[in-house]
Amino acid sequence: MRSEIVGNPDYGELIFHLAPGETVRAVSGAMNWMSTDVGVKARLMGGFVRSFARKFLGGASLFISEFRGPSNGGQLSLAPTLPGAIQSVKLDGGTFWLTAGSFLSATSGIDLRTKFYGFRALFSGKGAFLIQASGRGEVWFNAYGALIERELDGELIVDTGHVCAFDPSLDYKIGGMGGLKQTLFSGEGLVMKFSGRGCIYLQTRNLGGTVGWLSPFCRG
Amino acid sequence: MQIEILSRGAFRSALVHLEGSDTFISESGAMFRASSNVDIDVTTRTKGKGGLLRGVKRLLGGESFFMSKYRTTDGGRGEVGLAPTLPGEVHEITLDGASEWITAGGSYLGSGGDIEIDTQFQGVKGFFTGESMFFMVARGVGPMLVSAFGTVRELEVDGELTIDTSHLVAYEGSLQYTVGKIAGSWVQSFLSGEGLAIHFQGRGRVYVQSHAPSEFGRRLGPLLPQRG
Amino acid sequence: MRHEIEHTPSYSLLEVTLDAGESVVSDAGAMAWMDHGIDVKTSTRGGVLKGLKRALLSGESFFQNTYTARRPGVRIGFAPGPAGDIRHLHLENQELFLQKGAYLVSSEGVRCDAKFDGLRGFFNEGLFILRVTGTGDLFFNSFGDIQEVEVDGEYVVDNGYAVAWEPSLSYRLSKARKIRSFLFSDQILLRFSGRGRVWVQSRSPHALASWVYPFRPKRRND
Repeated sequence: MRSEIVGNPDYGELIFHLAPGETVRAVSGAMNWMSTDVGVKARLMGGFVRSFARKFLGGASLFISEFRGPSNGGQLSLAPTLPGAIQSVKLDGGTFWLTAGSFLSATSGIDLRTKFYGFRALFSGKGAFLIQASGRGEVWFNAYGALIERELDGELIVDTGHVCAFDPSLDYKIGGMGGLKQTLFSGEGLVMKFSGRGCIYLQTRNLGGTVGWLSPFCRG
Repeated sequence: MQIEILSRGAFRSALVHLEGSDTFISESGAMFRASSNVDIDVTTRTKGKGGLLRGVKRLLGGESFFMSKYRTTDGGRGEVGLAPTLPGEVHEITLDGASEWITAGGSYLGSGGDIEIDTQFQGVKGFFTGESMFFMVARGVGPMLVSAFGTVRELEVDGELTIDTSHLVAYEGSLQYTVGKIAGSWVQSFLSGEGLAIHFQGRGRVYVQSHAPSEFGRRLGPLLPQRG
Repeated sequence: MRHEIEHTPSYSLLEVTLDAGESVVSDAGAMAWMDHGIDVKTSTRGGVLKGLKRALLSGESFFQNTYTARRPGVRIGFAPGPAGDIRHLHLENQELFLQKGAYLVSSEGVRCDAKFDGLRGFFNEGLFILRVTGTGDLFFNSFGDIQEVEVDGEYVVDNGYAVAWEPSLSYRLSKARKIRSFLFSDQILLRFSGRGRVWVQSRSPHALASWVYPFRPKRRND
C-alpha cells in the first residue's frame, strides 16, 4: 500500500493506493473520492465511550470506515472535516494519544480505543474523549490549522482545543487555569498541563475559538 | 478583461480588471473590494434571460437570489474583487463554446459577460446529503470562476470515477452520472457517514475540492447560537 | 516584549516572549498555550460598563485577560478564532479603526473602545468597530489573507472585508443591494476617500454567518 500526503500545510489530503485486498481504516465521512470498486464497510471504535454519548463528543465521530482495494487495485482520497495539516507516526508496539477529531486514518495492525477524559471535560463541550492508538503500523492525524511538533522537557500549559496528539511518556492534568472564577470567566475553558519529556503535537486553531469569533455575527 | 487570481496561502480571491465595455457577473455578495469607477447593476437577469423564477432557482441552488453585473462607469480601467465564502482556492475555467460546464453546491463565483448562466434541477438525488438540488449550467465563450473549500483538483474521467457529493465543484457536460450509495448497503452508508456518491461515466473533466462544506457546517453549526 | 508571527498567512499564530513583570492583554479565549510562571488576571477592562459596551457593540469577548510574567523569557502562544493571518502594528500615540472580531492582543499602553456608525435611519444597521488608541503594540487578525490597499483618492470595500483602516481616511456608508439570502438584510459598502491604508481581508464573517445559518440549532419553543 502506498500513501501520500498532499496539500500540506493548508489543506492536507491523504491519498492511498490500495493493492487488491489491502485494507485501511479512516474516520467516517473522510472520503473525498475513490476508484469506483473500492469496498467500504462501517465499523465502531472500541472503548468505553459509546455513540449515544455523541452530545459530549464535540461532534467528532466514533465510526470508522474500512476501505478495501478491489481486484485490480484502487485509489482513495481522504481529508478531515476541518482544514489543516496532516502528519503520521509509525508505531512499533507502542502507544500514541490523539484527541477526538484529530484521528484520520490507520493501517490494519493498529488498535483504536476511546478513553474517557474525565467529567470536567464535559463542560467545555470540546469532546470528552481521547483516542489511544497502539500496535504495529502507521497512524495519520490532522490538525485544525498548522501543526506544531514540540519536544517538551519541562512543563507546558495548553488550551485543550489546541492539543492534537501526544506521546504517552508525558504526564498531564486537566483543569481550569486558576480558581473557579478563572475557569468560568477567563474563557480559556479547560487547559491541559503537560509535564515530563516527550513530543506534543499542537494545532494553531481551535473550534471553540472559531465559534466564539463567529457567534456575534450570527443573527436571527 | 483580465482576471488576476490573488493567492496567499490557504486563500485565493479574484481581481477582475475591466476596461472599456467589459462586463463581468457574479452572485451578488461576492464583491469584496472595487475601484470607485465600477458600476454595479443588480439584477435577476443573466444574458438576456431573467426573472424571479431564475432567482428562486438560484437561491435553492445555494447561490444568491440576485446577480451583480459589473462594468466601469467611464469606459476606463477598473477592478472588481470577488471572494468566496469559505477558505479555499479560486479556479478559472475557460469555456470554449463547445462544452458546457456544470457547477455544484455554491461553487460558482463569477463569469464573463458573454456566458449564459442557468440553473438545472437535479431531482431528489441531492436530498439525503443536504447538498443543493440545483446545479448552475454555464454556456458560451469566456472565463468562469469557481471556488472550492480547500484545494481544487482536476480529475480526468475516462471510464468511471466515484466522488462524494460534497466534494464536487464542477464537471463537463459531456459526462454521465448516477447518484448512489458509497458502501455496500444503505445502512452501511448511513453508519459509515460516507453519504452519497456520484458515479461518473464517460469522458470529461471533473473538478473536486479537498474538503466538504456540508461536513464543516455540521461540525460548526451546532455549536453556534440558536436560530429562531 | 518580543514577538513572532508564525505559520503565516493561513493559520497564523502569535508567540510573545515576556520579560519579568511585563504584561500583555488579550480577550479571553485567545491563549493557545503558555509556559508556567505567568499570572493571569481576568477583568472587564475599564470597568463593567465599558466592558459591556464593548461586548454589545463590538462583539468582542466580555472578558479580558492580562498576562504578567513572573520570570523572564516566558512565552505565550495566541491563536485567533478564524483561519487567516495576524498583523502587528506599533502605535505611537496613534489611532486605528478595527473590525469587530479582529482584535487579538495588545500591550498595556493600548486602549480599545467601541464605536458605532449608524446607517441613516436604521438602528442596528451599521458598523460596529473598535477604535484603538495609545502607544504600544497591537496585533489584529483576519479571516482570509490580508491585502493592504494604499488609498489615494477613492476605493470601495465591503463592510465585512474591511479589517482595519487609518483614521486619515474618511468613509461613506452605502447599501449595496446584495442579498445573499432572504434572511439577512443588505450588506454595507464602505466608500473610502483620502489618503491612507485599508487592510482588506479576503473572507467575510458576515458571509460565513449567512452560509452557516441552516446548520445552526433551531430554537425550541418549550
